[in-house]
Amino acid sequence: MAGETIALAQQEEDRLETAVREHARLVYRIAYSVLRNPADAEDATQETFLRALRYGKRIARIHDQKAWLARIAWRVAVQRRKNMSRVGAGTEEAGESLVSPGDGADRILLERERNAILGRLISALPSQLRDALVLSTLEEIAPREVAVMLGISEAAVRSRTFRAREILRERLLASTGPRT
Amino acid sequence: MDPMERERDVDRWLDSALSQLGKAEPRAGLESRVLANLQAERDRLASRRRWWWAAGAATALAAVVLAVWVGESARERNRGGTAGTSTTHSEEARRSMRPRPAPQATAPQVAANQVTASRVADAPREVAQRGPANGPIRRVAGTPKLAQFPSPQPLSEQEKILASYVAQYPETAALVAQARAEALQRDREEEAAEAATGSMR
Repeated sequence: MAGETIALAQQEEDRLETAVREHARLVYRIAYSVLRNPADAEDATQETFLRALRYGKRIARIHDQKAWLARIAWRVAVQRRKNMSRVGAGTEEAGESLVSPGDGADRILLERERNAILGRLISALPSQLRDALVLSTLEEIAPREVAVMLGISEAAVRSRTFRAREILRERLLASTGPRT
Repeated sequence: MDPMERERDVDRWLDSALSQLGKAEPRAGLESRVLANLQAERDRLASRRRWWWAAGAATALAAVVLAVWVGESARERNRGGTAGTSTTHSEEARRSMRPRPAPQATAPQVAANQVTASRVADAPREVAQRGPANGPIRRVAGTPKLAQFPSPQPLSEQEKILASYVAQYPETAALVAQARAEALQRDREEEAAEAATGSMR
């Protein structure tokens, strides 16, 4: 009896460890796309897996662990974003962390400036458009999964992403035009 | 710059920026940190579970001990109460049954004493039933509740004398007892009549 319990606990541990190894990066990216700050994204990743730990043996019954973890990560990140009032500061950090290394100093400065502007523009988007856009930028998640996460149809995801992109394009043209 | 070219440039940049947004890389060792955190959480949960088990076991043990103690004390009380009651009441009854110094009582006296003793023993019951003439029924003293009835006490000296007298002179004893019983019945009827007259007034 005790041996069986220990074996079950070990199985559960192994399952969660596998999930961490396979999906931690995706969870981080989802959190990052919402929070735009590496430290907050990592905290959200930790919280996501802690929530998964509380599911215990029920993890075995989940068919699509990736989608399940993605949904938890999304909820955790959105909740954190609501709780935090420092999204602006996070956007600045996001702009810095997205610059490719190896470019010249002028290029890096320009990229940082543009990324900061882009971050602010994304933050200023209506939440429906913003959520569809940031999730669509993640290669690991198919539009179908994004639709499930947001509770809308796949067509609506595509439409919202397109609209968000158009708004960003127009605003970028308006804001960076004179300097380029 | 040509506006068309500027738009194309912005488009290209937007594409690359958005794709970069979806390729954010965590600091190295994210998986290890997550796993370490999960292990710490597991240990914390396990220790909390152990604590709850210990607390539950202690509570259950305390409940069992309390139940046993309450049961034992109730049993003790019953035993002690019965013994005390029987001792007190039987002593009283015996004392009332015994005429002070009567070592050589005659048969009629013995029979009369016996009847008196039975009346004394019945007295609390009668008082409880009748009560004061105009007041509510009030129980003065309860009948002793004996664990075993009749009491397993041996016969007193007086009872032995009475028993031997009855054995020797059964007819006389029967006559005396009958006479006393009739007298007792008369007394009761008179008392009842008096009580009825008093209540009518």
